[in-house]
Amino acid sequence: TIRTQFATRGAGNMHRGDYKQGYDEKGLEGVQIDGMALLKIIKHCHENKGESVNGQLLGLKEEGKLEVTNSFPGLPAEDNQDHDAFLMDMMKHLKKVNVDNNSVGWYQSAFVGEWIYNDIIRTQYSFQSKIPESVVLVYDPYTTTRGNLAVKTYRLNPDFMKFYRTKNFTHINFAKHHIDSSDIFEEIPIKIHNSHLIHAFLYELGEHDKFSCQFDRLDLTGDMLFKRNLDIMSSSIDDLLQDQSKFAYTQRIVAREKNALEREGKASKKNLEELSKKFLPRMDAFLTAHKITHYSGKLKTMIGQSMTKLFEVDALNCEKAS
Amino acid sequence: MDPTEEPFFLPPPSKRENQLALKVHPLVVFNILDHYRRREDSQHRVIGTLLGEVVETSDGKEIHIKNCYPVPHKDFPGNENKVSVEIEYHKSMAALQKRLHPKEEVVGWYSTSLDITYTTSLIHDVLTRHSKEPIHLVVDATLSGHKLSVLGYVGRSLRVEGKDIISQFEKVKTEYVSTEPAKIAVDAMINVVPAEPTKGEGDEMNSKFSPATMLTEMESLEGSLDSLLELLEIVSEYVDRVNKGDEKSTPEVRAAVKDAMAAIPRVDLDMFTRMFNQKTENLLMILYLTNIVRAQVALGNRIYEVLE
Repeated sequence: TIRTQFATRGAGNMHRGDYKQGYDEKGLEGVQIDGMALLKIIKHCHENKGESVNGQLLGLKEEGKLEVTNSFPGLPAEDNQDHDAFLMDMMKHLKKVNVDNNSVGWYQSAFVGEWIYNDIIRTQYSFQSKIPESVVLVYDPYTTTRGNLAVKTYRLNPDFMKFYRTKNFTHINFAKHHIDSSDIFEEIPIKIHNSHLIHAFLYELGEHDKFSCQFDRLDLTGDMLFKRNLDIMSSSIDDLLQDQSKFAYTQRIVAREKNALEREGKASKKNLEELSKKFLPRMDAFLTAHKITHYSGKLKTMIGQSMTKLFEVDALNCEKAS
Repeated sequence: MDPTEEPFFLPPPSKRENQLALKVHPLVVFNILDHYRRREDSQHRVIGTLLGEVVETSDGKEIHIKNCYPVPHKDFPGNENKVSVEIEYHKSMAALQKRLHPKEEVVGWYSTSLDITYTTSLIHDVLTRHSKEPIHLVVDATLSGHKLSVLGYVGRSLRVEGKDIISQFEKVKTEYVSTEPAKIAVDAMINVVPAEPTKGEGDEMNSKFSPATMLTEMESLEGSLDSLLELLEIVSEYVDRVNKGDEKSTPEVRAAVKDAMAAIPRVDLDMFTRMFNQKTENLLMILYLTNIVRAQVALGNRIYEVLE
């Protein structure tokens, strides 16, 4: 399981009074992240590459836009001491040096590229109910190689928020709220922001070839990533199939009991309602379907890049042959 | 800077038994500059603690500075020899950071002011009591000399009759180093597309300050291919000029060009065509499968709505 100690505690300390009914309809146009916060997140996720880790995002929120100016990691799994106290302590220290003290979301490292789990939804839901503009920033340390930076921010779709609140995950409810499996998370575009001073520093760094990824990107050996993505996709498909058979089974049982009730004339409203409770919660199936769609999108981008590089090599070799 | 005014800055001795090198990660400088930006109006410089690791190599010691955090302090402009630093903050924050990154330790402290004065020595003594080779890093946030200098010093205490009186700061070789993902992030930041300047502010400087979009994967790939093409064109023009006799080539350049040409692997045309076709087929197959799966899942979604 994934540790999500910031679930309610982090969000709960700030802005208790801000939650209004219907507030989650507000859309978010974009997320702006400071270069420094991004580097901190990358450092933390890479130091713990084998496990999935998370931490807090701090910053400011404005109309339709979120600014992330700082971040700090959550305690590692081995540390058993009080997380709440740690959180409060850290916030107090940061406030003393004029760092923005508002929690605007959290970040999560994608473990072996997968991050769409129930825990994530639950955490993001509790964050988003208290701070409507909060986002979850997902950073993938495995895909960030060869010049590609794999960082994305997501937010739960407002329709999905409304639906999640009902806590009724039967397929009837899914249909009633018109929730598609691709409607769970919506991606928010990220922009990078750096102060003038940091731009000056970036100019200095740009002089060194050490920091240029221009030719890393032309590397041709991307097969492992393909294989991994395909593996995840095929195991997700297996999961989905399993779930489908379970669902079909429960449907048959429910139908049989319904028929039995009707035959005996006990088809009262109350009995029918009891029966509908037996429907299988479909959340996991939807998550799996969402995962599959997500990975197909990722694969398509990768294919585009690989094709381009292949044709480039072809061009170089044709020149040689001719 | 008049040498007579700076009794505590001496050039490094010419012979050193223990070569010391400082490796600074970009995150540290980012942090320092951000702290400088957030300082109180009354302060003209800021200080903080450096965290990192000491690594012993065959040439001597390397100190990797990986992280840092600000420490509140107060300068007294009237009194040059007085400074107040919140030690408790420094200690408690160090403990918090230790819980997060157990391998890092306090290796020194930073300041954004180029002047090394008596107070520098005082702070150095207080903040680096427990480090073996306490480092003082100076990041010039005032951009004097039209560059952002990052200088590293090692502080050695001068002892007189057994008592430490003052620290002597020696310049240490400093260079930037980073992990691969940090390098990718920095590269992405250097190559951002700045936002359009807002109406009424035709000033290009302001457009740099607004949030900038990162290039997508395809755009950056395009950029890389463009650079490669550019380099090839430069080299081929050079070769043409040398052949015409307009320019003389040196042996180093000739060897480099030969190496570059040799880097393309010699593959039999048949074999290459086969490999190329295979790869293309693989990619097309994956594309086809992906499309099928996607269509199937979308279809499945619609069915739920029909079911009830």
